[in-house]
Amino acid sequence: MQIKKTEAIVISSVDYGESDRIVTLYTKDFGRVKGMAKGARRSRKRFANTLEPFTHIKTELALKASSGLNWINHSSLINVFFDIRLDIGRFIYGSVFLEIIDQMAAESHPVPHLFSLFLLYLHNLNKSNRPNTLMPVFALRLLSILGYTPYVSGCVICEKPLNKKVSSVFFSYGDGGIVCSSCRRDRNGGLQLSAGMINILQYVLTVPTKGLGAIALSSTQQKEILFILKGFIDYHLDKRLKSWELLEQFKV
Amino acid sequence: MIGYAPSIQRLINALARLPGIGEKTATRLAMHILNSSTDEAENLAHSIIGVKKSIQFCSICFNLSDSDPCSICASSDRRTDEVCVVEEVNDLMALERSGFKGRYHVLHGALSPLQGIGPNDIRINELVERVKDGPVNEVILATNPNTQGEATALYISRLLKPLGAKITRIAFGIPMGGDLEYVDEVTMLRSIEGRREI
Repeated sequence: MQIKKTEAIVISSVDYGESDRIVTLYTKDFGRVKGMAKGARRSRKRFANTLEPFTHIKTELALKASSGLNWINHSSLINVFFDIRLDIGRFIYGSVFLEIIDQMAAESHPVPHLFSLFLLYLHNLNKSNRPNTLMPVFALRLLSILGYTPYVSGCVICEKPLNKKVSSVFFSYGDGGIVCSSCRRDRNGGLQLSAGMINILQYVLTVPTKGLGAIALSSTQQKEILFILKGFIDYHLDKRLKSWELLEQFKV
Repeated sequence: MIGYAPSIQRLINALARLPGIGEKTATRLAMHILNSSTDEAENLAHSIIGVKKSIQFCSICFNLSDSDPCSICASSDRRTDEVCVVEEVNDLMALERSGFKGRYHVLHGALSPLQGIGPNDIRINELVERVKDGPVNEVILATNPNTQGEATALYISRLLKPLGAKITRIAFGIPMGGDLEYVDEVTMLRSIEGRREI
């Protein structure tokens, strides 16, 4: 068992037994880590307010060499991102982002740039009044960092460059990117993209991450990018995200 | 290999199904029951059957109760215009110990998107109907002061505000008998925000 100190962001925290918590963290140095925080519900000294979702913490972990649950020894606050809790839109869209990382980032496998993107997203979300745009934009970039970059610089099948003025291009989840109208004739399905959407997808995937928070979308584009993202994630996970299924119930 | 007698093994298996009880603990409990008097064993068995047969949700506040409405909702000594919203029955009990004299509404959970718990999975719609039907002048939101509890309180307040009732949130801050030196920064911030004039 190795004792390690690292920064982390809390993804989820579930009560276990009378006083413990099982916590999922995304750590700066070890990727996604699931661990047991013994006595976390009672201890005001070792864990006070640090194991809430969206919280940025410093923590000490006892990492197991083989399979099994790690231990979270103690943690202290760096940033609580309190304003996320004060807005239902920020809370629910932020929860979707947490679940994407929880489901798609491999356990104990640090991915370069993911931690800094996660932190940047939380800083932006904490003061955002358009969490419904922020989430898909950051999540698409997140998927790219995780190795699921959709192919948007040409047709994913014939690889010919796309005429951006032509509106009859499609996004195919299974093929992993944009499909031109002639290639689409041979296959079923795919979402027709509105004019300008290719530019937006390309921009989201290439702009320096600091610029992601400033991307503005029309309501049609915002709905479309959400639709693309949901289909893409559902396809790769082969299941639906629980938090995404609740978006409609929250009416945000 | 010969194991325990079938009736003892059946009891061990039944006890081992309880949360937090492994086979060894179940065996120890089974042996304890075996060694206790017949009256004690019968009392335990009757208590388990009794709770399953008689306990139901109160149709007004969703507290667990032997009767419908529960003794709190049926009492004429309690204020009908003040409803305190809590996540779980345990929270209701904690408030009862404080001497609160209003009535309650038990949500049976809090909003938790990552666990798939949304507004339709807890008793929020029933609360809205209750406030609509009146007479409720004040709704006190006493969900836990964590991320899920805060989001639940916020969501409920958004639904109830248009109905005209006064919506309040329980205060947060330093516990009585506490020491400022050992209070964490989030609690301290909330206590400064929630300060009151004396």
